[in-house]
Amino acid sequence: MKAFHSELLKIRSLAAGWSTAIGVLLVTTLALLFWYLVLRSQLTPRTDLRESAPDFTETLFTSGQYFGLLLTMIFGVTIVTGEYTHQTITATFLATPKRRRVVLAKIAAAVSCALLFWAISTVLAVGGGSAILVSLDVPLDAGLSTGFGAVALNALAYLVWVVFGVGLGTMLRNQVLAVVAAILLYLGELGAFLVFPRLAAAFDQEWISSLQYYLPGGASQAMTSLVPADGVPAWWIAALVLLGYGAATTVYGTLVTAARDVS
Amino acid sequence: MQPTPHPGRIVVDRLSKQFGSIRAVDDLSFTVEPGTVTGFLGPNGAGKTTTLRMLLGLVAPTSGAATIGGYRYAELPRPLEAVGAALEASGFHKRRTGRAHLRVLCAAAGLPARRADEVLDLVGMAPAAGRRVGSYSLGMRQRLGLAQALLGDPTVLILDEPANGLDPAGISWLRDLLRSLAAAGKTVLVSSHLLSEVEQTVDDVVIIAAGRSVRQARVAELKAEAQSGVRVRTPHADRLATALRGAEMRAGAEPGVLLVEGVPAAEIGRVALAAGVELHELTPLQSDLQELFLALTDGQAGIR
Repeated sequence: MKAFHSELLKIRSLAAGWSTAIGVLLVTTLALLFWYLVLRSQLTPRTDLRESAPDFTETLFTSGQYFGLLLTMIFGVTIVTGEYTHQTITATFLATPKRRRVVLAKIAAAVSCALLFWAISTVLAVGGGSAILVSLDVPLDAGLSTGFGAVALNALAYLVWVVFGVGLGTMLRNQVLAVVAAILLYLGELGAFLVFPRLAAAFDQEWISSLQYYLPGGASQAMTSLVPADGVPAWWIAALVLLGYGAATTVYGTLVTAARDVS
Repeated sequence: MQPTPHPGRIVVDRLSKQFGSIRAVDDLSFTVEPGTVTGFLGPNGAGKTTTLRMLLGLVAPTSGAATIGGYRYAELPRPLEAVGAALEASGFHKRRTGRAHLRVLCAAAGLPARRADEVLDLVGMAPAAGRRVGSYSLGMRQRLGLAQALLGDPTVLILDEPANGLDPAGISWLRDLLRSLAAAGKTVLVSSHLLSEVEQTVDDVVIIAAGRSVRQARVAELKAEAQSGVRVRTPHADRLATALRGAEMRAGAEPGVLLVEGVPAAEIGRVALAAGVELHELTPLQSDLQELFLALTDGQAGIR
């Protein structure tokens, strides 16, 4: 508990937390604007608004998720690597020599912040998203349950990615390296989206294509999509996969942090 | 039943650390008693910082043990209240204020946040408490490091090169601070690569070179050893040597130069005059502790 309080103070005394919050606010606003323009141009008089409502609501209520998660993960990385970059890790371990406590406190503080980022994004996205739905004459009630389901899964995504970020930071203490690795792991989904279907086609094995959803980025996409699609695993399977990655990096990171010399 | 060790006693017992092919610390043992200031001396690269980091649980020893009051650092129930440390490579985040840096540690140690301002005041940093560490001078950072060490009002203080970057007034202030802490019964272990820098402050010294202990003694003993000598230049060195029969002497680096020990310069002059020996130079040499230190650590290259 003491270590947790200390970690929160560390975050509050620096700009990284506020910058991430503002970044999340910004990407949410831009995403809302983007989706508004896209949806408006897609709608024709023949569109069945009631049928499209769940899809639209899910998209709008989780606006900014894509880059919001990336920013949150990088935040998780830097609260660990920043201590090595600025050599404050010595003072941290002197005050809390039981290093596992430090890692756990960092995870707890990171999760608290991630949920705050999620809340900021959600208030804006649900408010702005509802306004957009109304302005497009989409019936709100038809998509609400899917929309709030997506919002809940979005919270889980923020939580898992920030834990994953902290885990990465403990594994790779070099700030630049860790941030690059985080971005690659997150955006790697874009590459996987191209590579795996081609491999599947080349070997004529359809299952290879769905492997992309078992990598962190793909699993995150699968987890946050409630509207079913072909070859995509159910959200809860994807959630378990992601939690597995988060747990693995954290456990490994805690063990190496405890064993490593600080000099 | 074992006697309960004094909470302020530092015991380093057959401590070794291997970094790859380098034996940074090699079978090092020493004890630091409460109420004393002990200088931990050695040339750069002798293994001082590694030893201190092992003592503080930051670096794992390859073998041996280092304890404070009978505990390994990580086992201390309230570490900052038992041991305060200021280490060289202990950093501060440039964008945090001095006060914020200390408050983070107060929170971690369960100390009240006001301790941050109290220790900043104690080290003369109160006016700069609200400024970012990035704007501090090296001397101010050293003071912030000391403030950090004093945060929990600890029984033991471990300071790595605390005088680096301090101006003469700062060094004098540091000496007074260390003496007053020892007088209050605290254990102070202070490392330095300059014996002359700490000789006025410390009671005991532990001198290491190439990771090994080369000398452990009271400063008073070392001072007695570092005798003064007299350099004599004369064209008749052999005649003077005969006249000074019994005195310890050796030939100097140049021809015609004698180094005489244990005889005052005036006495040498009188003997020379009586023997009719012509003198060209008669210089008392103050062989200081630093020379003794160099002799002790000689040939043990600091950079390995």
